[in-house]
Amino acid sequence: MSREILYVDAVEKGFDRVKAVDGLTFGVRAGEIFALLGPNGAGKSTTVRMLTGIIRPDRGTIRYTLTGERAAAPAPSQLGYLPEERGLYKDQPIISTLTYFGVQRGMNRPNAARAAEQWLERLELRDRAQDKLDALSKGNQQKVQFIASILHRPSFAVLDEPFSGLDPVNQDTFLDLIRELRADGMTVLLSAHQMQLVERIADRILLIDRGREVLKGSLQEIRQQTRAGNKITLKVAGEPRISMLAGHSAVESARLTAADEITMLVRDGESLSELLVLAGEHLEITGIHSEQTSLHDIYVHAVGRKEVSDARVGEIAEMEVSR
Amino acid sequence: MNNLRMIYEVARWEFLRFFKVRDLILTLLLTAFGVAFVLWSGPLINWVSGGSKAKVVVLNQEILPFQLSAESAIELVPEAGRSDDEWRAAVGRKEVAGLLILSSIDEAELYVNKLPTWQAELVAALTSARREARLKTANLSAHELNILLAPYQIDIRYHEAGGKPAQTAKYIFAASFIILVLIGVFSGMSYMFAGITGEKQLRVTEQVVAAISPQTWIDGKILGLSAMALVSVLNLGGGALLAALVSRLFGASLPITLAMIHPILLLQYLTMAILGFLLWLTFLAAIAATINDPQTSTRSVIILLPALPIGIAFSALKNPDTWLMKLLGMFPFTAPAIMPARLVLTDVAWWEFLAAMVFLLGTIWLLRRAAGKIFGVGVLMYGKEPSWREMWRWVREA
Repeated sequence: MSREILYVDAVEKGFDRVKAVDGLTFGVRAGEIFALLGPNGAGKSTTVRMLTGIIRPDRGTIRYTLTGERAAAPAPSQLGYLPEERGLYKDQPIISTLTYFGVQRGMNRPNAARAAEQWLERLELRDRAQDKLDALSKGNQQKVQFIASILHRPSFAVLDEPFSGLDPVNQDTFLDLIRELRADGMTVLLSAHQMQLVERIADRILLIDRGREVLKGSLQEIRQQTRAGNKITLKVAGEPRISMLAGHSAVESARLTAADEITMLVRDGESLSELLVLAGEHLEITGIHSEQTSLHDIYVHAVGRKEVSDARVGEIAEMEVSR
Repeated sequence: MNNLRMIYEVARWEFLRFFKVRDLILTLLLTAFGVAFVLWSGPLINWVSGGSKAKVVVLNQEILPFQLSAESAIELVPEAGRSDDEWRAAVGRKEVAGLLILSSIDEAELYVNKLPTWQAELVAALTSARREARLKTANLSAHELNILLAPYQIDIRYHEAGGKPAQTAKYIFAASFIILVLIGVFSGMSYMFAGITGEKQLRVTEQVVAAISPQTWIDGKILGLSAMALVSVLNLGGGALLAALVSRLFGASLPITLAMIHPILLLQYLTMAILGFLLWLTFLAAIAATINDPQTSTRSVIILLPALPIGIAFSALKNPDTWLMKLLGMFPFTAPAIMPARLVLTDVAWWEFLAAMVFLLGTIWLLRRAAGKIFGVGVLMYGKEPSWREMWRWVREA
């Protein structure tokens, strides 16, 4: 196992009467891609801002050991940061802006300019180097923003919502880039809510909600923790009654995903025979589909457990009334 | 990279953001053109109007004989035996600009097509002539009359070290200094204001603050934009000087002499100007960081605050040696405008200049620390502007 380069211990941060982060503890290992997941308002960006030294925690400890020695904050040259609130100087040539950000991170000007040119070349923007940022498409502006955060080859990059606003093609480009950075030895912490992308790239995941840890570990470990087995989707004719399915011991959760569709998360290792017999007895099944539970399902289940169960009760009650 | 090096890099970036060679050349040329126009406006207007004077016919001039200067805009035309009506018709045909009919020593009629621009000059000449006529009838002796009518004599003598300029020239010179400081402060503040509020709106701030400390950032900004303000002032001053030199080559009479621009005086002026830029830009950087939207924020009017000491500085032109002006010449927020004016107009003790510098430097240092704290918090705040009380609390807690 790689050594930890960042250790966060019982960190808390509040604003006015809202506690944005409430006792988070986690570590990030050298060379891994660590994903911080959570719904809007979960405390991801606050956590990221504390990690990058922009704000200080009210309580708890943040400790870096990037160079082997302990430090409360990394040197600017060791840290790369892509903020959620994107922004670059729009009235300046792209190459000048990138060079300036490289210099801020400890590079000398010629090296920063050279690195900027190489990255622009790599992302097929070399001929736009002297353009102003406004002249680029939104996707290309995101690329420039990304370059600004890792131009100086930091040993630790914090990427806050790196995929937001990207089309599928650029999302894949960014996934490849992040993998490349990891292959070069860079440790990456990314905060995101695009589950399918995180699933494809993250080595370990910390799922938080309302500032607290919900789940933590590799995708495999999280599946085991949540006993997430398969996701079974039933297509039904007639009334889609889910109350008897939701109450079955093998079912973690069941919900209506369409007027004629019931989706169930089934607990890992449970026998499905009895469940399917039960379903066959009470429902007119026209189709069935089974797949491994995705991170999205685990996320929705874990974060939205209360909301889902409330909704389910509501649905059942509604059906009872109409009956 | 050490902190000083980073401050230099930020200052360089901020300077180059606003340093536009094309704009500077354009400003230089426009200033030179403007000054040249002012210097040549008299001869130019005369040339455009064909060098002609307004022809005025005077009837009954023997009632009150009067004279006009050689530079007068009026040319008196002999009545040449034509009647009153004939001359009135001549005015109608615009053969002459006006007909002045004197009816007594105190009353006259002026017959014109439109309100004349030379009316004030005519009235002044008639007033002078009437005074002289009245005095002559006051039974005074010829000697007493000569004394009363002779202009008051002042023998002006200058100190050896002085440039012997006329006092008016000194006023012009001092006023130019004040105006240049004002332009420098305002241009620097507008750069600072546009820069910081723009960075907040473009969401650049978080990325920068994650890399360098807010104090380093604000220090670099203040230095870079003060340098840009200085460039603006030198550019404007250079443009004016260029126009003056070229005009002199072509024989224009200048209200000031180049000998007045003494190197020591220039150095003192530049010192005060630079310290003034640093002071006001430090102040504004803190305020600008707390503004979300410059279009709607009421704090935007704070950019006008430096106009207040500049206004006071113009009072120093009249009485540069009063105790109040001496005091304000050393007070940090007024010194950058008043001290240069006093340096031109009067003798300033060396300790006064030194005290002004020390107070300014001390204030800039304290303000810089306070501004750094406000800037550090304010620049990352979005949504609501902090109150003055909150800002004061940040400074105290720091």
